[in-house]
Amino acid sequence: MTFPSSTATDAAAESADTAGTAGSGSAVVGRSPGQLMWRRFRRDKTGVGSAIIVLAFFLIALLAPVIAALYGKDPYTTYGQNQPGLLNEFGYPIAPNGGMSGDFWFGLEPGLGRDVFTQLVYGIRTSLSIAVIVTVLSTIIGIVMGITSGYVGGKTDYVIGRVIDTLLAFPSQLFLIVFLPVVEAAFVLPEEETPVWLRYVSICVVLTVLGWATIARLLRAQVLSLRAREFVEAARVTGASPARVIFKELLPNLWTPIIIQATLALPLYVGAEAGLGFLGVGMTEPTPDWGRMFQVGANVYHSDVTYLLFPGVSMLIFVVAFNLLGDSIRDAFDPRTKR
Amino acid sequence: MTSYLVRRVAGALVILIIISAITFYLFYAVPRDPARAFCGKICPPETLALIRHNLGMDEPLFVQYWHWLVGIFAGREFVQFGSCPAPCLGYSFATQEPVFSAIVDRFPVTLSLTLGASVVILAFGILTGMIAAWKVGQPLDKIASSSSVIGASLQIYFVGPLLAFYLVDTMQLIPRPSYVPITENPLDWFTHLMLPWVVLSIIFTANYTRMTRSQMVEQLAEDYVRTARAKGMSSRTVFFRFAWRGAMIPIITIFGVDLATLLGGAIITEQTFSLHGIGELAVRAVQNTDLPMLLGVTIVGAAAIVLLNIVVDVLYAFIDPRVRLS
Amino acid sequence: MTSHSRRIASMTAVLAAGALALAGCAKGGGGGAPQGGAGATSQKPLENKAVSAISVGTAADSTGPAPEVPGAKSGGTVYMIDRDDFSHLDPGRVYLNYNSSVSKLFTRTLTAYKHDDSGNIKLVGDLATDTGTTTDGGKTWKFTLKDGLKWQDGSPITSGDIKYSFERLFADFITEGPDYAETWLVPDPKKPFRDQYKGPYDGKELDTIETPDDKTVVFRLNDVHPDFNFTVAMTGYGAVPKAHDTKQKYDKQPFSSGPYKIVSHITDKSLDLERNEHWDPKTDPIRHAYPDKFHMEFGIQVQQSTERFMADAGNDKQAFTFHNAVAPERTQEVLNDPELMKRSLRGLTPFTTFYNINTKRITDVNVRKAIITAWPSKQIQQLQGGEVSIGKIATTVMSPTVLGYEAFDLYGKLAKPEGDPEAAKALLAKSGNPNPTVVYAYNQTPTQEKVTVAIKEALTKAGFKVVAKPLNAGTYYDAIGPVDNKYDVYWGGWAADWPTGSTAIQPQYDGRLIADNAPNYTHLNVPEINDAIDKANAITDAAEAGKAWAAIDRQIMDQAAIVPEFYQTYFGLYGSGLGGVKFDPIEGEQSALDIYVK
Repeated sequence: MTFPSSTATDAAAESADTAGTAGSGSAVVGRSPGQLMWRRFRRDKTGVGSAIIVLAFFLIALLAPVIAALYGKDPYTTYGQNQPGLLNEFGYPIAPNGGMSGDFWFGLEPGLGRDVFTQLVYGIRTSLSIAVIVTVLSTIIGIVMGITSGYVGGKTDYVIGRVIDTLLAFPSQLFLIVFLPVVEAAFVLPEEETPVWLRYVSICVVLTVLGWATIARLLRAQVLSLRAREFVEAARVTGASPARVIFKELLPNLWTPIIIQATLALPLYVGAEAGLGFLGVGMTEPTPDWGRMFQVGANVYHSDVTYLLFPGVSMLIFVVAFNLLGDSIRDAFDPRTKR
Repeated sequence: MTSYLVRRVAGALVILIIISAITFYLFYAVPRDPARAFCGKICPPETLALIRHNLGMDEPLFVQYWHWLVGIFAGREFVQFGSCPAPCLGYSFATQEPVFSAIVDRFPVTLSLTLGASVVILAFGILTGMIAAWKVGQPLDKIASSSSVIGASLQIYFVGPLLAFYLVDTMQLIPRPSYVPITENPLDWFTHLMLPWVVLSIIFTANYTRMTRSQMVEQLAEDYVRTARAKGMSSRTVFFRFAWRGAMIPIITIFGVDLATLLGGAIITEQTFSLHGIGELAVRAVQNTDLPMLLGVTIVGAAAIVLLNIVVDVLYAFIDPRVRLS
Repeated sequence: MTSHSRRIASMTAVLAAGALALAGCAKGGGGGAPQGGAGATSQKPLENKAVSAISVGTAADSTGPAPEVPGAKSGGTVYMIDRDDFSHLDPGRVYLNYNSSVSKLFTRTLTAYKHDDSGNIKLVGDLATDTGTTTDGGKTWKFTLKDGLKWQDGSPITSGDIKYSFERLFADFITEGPDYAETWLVPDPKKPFRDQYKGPYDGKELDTIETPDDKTVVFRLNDVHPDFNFTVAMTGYGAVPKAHDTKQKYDKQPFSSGPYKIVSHITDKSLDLERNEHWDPKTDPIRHAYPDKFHMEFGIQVQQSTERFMADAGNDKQAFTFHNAVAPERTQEVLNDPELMKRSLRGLTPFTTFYNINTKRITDVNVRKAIITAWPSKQIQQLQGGEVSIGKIATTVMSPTVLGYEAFDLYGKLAKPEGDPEAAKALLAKSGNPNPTVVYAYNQTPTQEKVTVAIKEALTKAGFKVVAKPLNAGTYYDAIGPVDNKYDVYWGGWAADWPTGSTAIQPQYDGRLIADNAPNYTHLNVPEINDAIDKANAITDAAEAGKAWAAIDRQIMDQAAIVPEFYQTYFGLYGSGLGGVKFDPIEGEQSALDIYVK
């Protein structure tokens, strides 16, 4: 559950500094920056490989019901409790390696005896969708706040700046777990049921609220430096409306840092969401969740370490692939960036 | 310098008061009746009302917040508990222990965990980074950069139990993590915290190796280094006396942030290794909706982060004389 | 021993340990075949020898000194390691078993429980010469204090001190303890007792307690309570000296009437006791005081204490624990080690857990019966570490530790502990609604979420439509408290405050006590049961009363008001250098009273 930290910001800022020049320089060659980027990206084998892996994960998430149907199991049935001979009297799989078999490819969940493979596939679906939603939302809010702050300046800048400061001073992990029940309590009376979607929405809201400040701060700095540039000055002098300046002059030059920041943030949100699940404040049973599998894994590893390996290794692969992909995208945007 | 510090501390206090006010209002808006925890098994409504009064919960929210704030500096009197000397953060709704002493009790655990890990991470990271920079372009460099990607992609709650299974359960190389006060038995303190330190350093060290290396390489290309060399200084002197200073500044910045991450991340680290520090206190408080405890931990956590930022900024000035605090 | 605190404690334990919930027994599966056979499965079933042997002792039973423990010797320091500091030591604020166990070392009560080697439990006089006398069926109770009773400063313990100890329970800060005696000692039991008397701190006395001389104290209750002598055995009614009452501060450092006095108490860290030389063993039928000192240390989690007891090194050889059980993930290891088993204690605690069925919402008894029949008791036990770690599957309201307990199993839960969907379907068919909806509310903890999955699955199989409603742990009891709550089934826990049926049954199943937040969570209101409760309450002979309560137990189960879950078990270790460490079935944990250093 690491949060977008300045490590990420620095890398983004580093490449973003040169983004403007990279964009304008390309005009000479006669190709759009997008085309240039795509050409560079295709030459990067690591990048393409990572992209395929990442894509595969998203496909798995999207096609989870199809995969489960083909495989013939679902993530809810407690197979181990229904069929004798699968779990021993302490609730652990009888077969070696966590109960892996032709029927249960990744074995059985200790205790309830659910199928690990479908749990994982559906868990990835839950976690990835939350991460994507949060990345999109926090990026949008970050863009709005960052540009407003940098472009309008004055009191607005001061207020937004202090809000950002305060948000960044919050111990973010603590706040995640603290705010979740508070957000829920705000919507649900104690005697009412907490619907599944509410927990889902709460997680998205809390991650977004705590996540937009980083990108906003970065964009604010970018806008401040861009605002002083001739082409923006020129646009303003010629009487362009603020909207035009923002959308036609500023935003095109900000896409690179925005995309880079977003690619850095997404795997962090996957980790953050999983961290919530691990702590027992994430998605609730029976909704399958990647992070909650770690919670179970951490409880049963003494006797069934196999169970921990599947969510662990799959998340490692995903995050590494996504980080490498992020690197490649950054390289493609700006080949001069050193890492 | 002094006036700078005063200003920074004053600013930090304002932020802390804002944070505490926000959290206080948010948490107390949660519908929860703490009085039950102070009541016997069969709890008549009049006893509940009495306890609410004893806890000062029958007053308007802003009065409660004011009492809470004043309690930190002047202490408080509770009918239920008697006097609570300053700094008083109230009493836990769940365990009825004083919040401040609970935090103080657990602080050494979190501190040992974080500082120990920081020392390992910084020492190894900077050392290997320096070596890599000393011998530029060697395999170490490549290993460092690829392992930093993997390291940074690992989750504590995956590596932790995994290593615990192999190193503790199976091979019995190191003891299961727990906290033994360093004053009681320094050796036990060390061995029982080894696993968490190792796990944290697996995740963080490679990043510092990579950063140190690239910073050193950059510094060595700077004008002042070239000037020093041209004047006949040995490369060893240049390397160890000048270049590292410049390289340390970005490292300290990152470290300041990572330290905050480590402290905040203590929640997950402690949960992973069943260590009972402030992070675990926070999780328990959340599960119990233990508002005074939550508020206490939040404020102490925020204060630690704010303080850390100030310390990092001051450290700049010591390492790099070019930085002026103003 | 409030079920609520217990709930919080167990919930925190789950959180704190992380592993508690599912870890079960170490090395269960993973690599191999089921670990059944020779290992854990061959344990003897848990027994509680005290079951049918709770009785009221005579004056002879009440005289000290306590019979010698064979092989015991005096001297040395005994260490105690536990997770939490004692939350309360002021007797008036003690309800939890954990606080009660330690209080026995320095707080004496009018009556107390004496355990003999064959497992019999006898109520005897502790400060009193006998278990009290009543001439009007239990309305007026007279206790005579023994000779030679002294406080830790050598001043005599008088009847005035006893009267004062009860009076101060009316003070506004004493809210955590039991309030039976308070309610019975004011003129009108129906009105709040604090409105009728405000406590002794403004100089007023409670005139229903009389002290004709220094040795005699007479309680005039507002109604008949034949087991009042059991009531005053609760630590909550322990003696507090008027001259040394420090009000709120008394909670950290009470004044001793027992064999030890508190030397230092550092909150959450340590508690040191040393001998109280003014305590006279000849006045005390239950305490030994072999060790010179106790050093108690807190903050030791169950994983750590288990490892320390297993390692048995240094001072840990002379260490025991009141409360810490064997960490569930180490249970099987301990069970398979005969050397360790020699210094282990197992037993049934007085705690029972169950699922309340809201009889106001599910009015058809056949539907309630179907719920019990379909309930996945076995799966729930398995999810929480099995019989050793959590408890024996229960089939009755009363625990086997209650006087008069009778074992019966109306719904065949022991034959089919995993639930019998077919039989449940048959019951539902009788009710005319084969697919009733059941709203199951649960405490949202990782363990309970898993338990809920099992419950949902089992009930669905029998034809129920299950709506699972997670409740925040902090507000759980607030949510299920209102009489008109919208839930059908919800978890609860209970322990009798003294081992007779009255506190095991009446607060929970007397229909006239239904109120918001009252313990009658099933809202069961059956006139025959209410009448039977009144009759049982008036029976003066303890054994006869026991039979009456057992009959009521059967009536309640006939009504299918609860799904009994567990009779909770205790399984703990202690160091090899100690003797006389015993399991206390009244508190459900280790007892310090007979301990000696070998």
